[in-house]
Amino acid sequence: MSEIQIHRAGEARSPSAEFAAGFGHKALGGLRFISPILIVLALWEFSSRAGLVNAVLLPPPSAIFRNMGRLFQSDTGFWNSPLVGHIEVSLMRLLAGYGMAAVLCTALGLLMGINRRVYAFFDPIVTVIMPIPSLAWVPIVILWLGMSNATIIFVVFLTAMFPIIYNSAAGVRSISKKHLWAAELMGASRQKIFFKVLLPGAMPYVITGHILAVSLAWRALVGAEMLAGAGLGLGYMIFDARTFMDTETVYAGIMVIAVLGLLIEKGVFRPLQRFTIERWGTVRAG
Amino acid sequence: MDMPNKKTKRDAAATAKVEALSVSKTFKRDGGEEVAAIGDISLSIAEGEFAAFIGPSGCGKSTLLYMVAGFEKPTGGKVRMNGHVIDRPRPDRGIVFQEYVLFPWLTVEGNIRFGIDLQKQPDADARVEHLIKLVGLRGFERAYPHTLSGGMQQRVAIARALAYDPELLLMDEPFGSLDAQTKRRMIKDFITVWEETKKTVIFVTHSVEEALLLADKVYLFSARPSRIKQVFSVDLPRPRDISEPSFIGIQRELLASLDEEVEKMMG
Repeated sequence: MSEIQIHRAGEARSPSAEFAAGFGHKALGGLRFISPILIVLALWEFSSRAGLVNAVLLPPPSAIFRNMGRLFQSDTGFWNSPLVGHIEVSLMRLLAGYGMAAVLCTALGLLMGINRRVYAFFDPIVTVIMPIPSLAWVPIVILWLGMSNATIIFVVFLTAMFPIIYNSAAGVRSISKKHLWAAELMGASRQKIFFKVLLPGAMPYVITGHILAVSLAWRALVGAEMLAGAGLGLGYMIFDARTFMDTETVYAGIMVIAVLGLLIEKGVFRPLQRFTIERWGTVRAG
Repeated sequence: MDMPNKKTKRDAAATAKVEALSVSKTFKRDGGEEVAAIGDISLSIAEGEFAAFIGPSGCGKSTLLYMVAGFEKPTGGKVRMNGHVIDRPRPDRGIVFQEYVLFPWLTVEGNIRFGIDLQKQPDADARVEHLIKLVGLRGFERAYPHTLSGGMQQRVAIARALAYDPELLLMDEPFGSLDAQTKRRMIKDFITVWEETKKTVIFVTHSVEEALLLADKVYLFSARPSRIKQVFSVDLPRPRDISEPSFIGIQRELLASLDEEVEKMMG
């Protein structure tokens, strides 16, 4: 599909007008999003400085940001700073665990959607294992794999697996029999039905599964790093700073985790969603 | 009612586009109880004929249409097209469903091209362009189905079914979910489309008026287990006038006969 164009012909605006309107809209939306947060930060700053709360347990945001700035510095520059190092390790673990799940579990989920026997076998297993909080696996995975990268990547993988499997299967099963009939009558082979009907038809669910997988995996990652971080990663950094009562670093870590989580969801998956399922009207645009 | 004897039946086979020979269909309900939807149906639809199936709900008229499509198999008897028993869905047939059943991830043009591309037919662009004009979708080529009204979506579905040039067009209550105004317009426009393409059409409907406005022959299905109760030939030129006495006459007769069957299903 090469047509990245307008939805309703006849209602088309000029591209520049559309851009300007979109930009204004975005700026306003951004302001609406950021101002409540700024208000909370200001109140926090005030309470901490005025001594209304314990400044060690709740240091003022200005001190946290100053500390964050320090953590982003090193003798050899920004890219070699401790915080960038932790971020790098965390993101690498997320990518490795989620990446494996994305490849293996999308395939398994689609297969479950297509083949009734495969579904009958895996569905009960998925149903039983899915509700287990992934951190419950950490102790046993540590015994298998030690306090290592592998342990954390495996826990991320475990977390990302289920939403992907479940939603990919549901996506295929959501396609109506009549859509398959229509394609078959128009001369589609089994292979063509898979690529031209099942795959695009399941896409809205598959994307939802991946969004869920990454956001859950990101949460599990931080937890797993606290328990088995082996000296690296944002979760480890927070946990380690706590033992020294370095609360400014704890908060700096939490803020970085929040911002990165937001960026991954809004920056990577939202555009993907917008270019597929919102255009197709399969889900209502937010 | 013209029930052919053995000899004319064989003669009909030579020219018939679609034939049903003592077709029956039994369903199993969830409780395991068997329901005979189609009792014993034989009919013969000629090349180029516009046939309408009408009957009470649950009489199996859509089921028979799906058998012609190759989606379902009869429990007993045979369904033939061009003299061959129908084994599976093949692109010598096209179908239009009540619920449009378009592919939401494809544009109007993408939907219409679907069958042509699958069969790698030549002149795709010209054919698609012509059909878009014919069904009145110009200016909407790049629109996605969800941005269109029900009537427009059904135009896309009709164009999609005709695009790869099937011999037989199957329509399962195609105007059933449209409002009355849109429906009238669609019927009028569809007559124009049909007169240009001159396909053999099987059209399942609940509406007596729709059947009589469109069809050469109306096959009235009886209550379950169904058979063909009556066949009405409508020899009126199109576009037909619903206020004309001859139209009203046949409409009254068909309605009375249909109501008897509906009554039986209710009772």
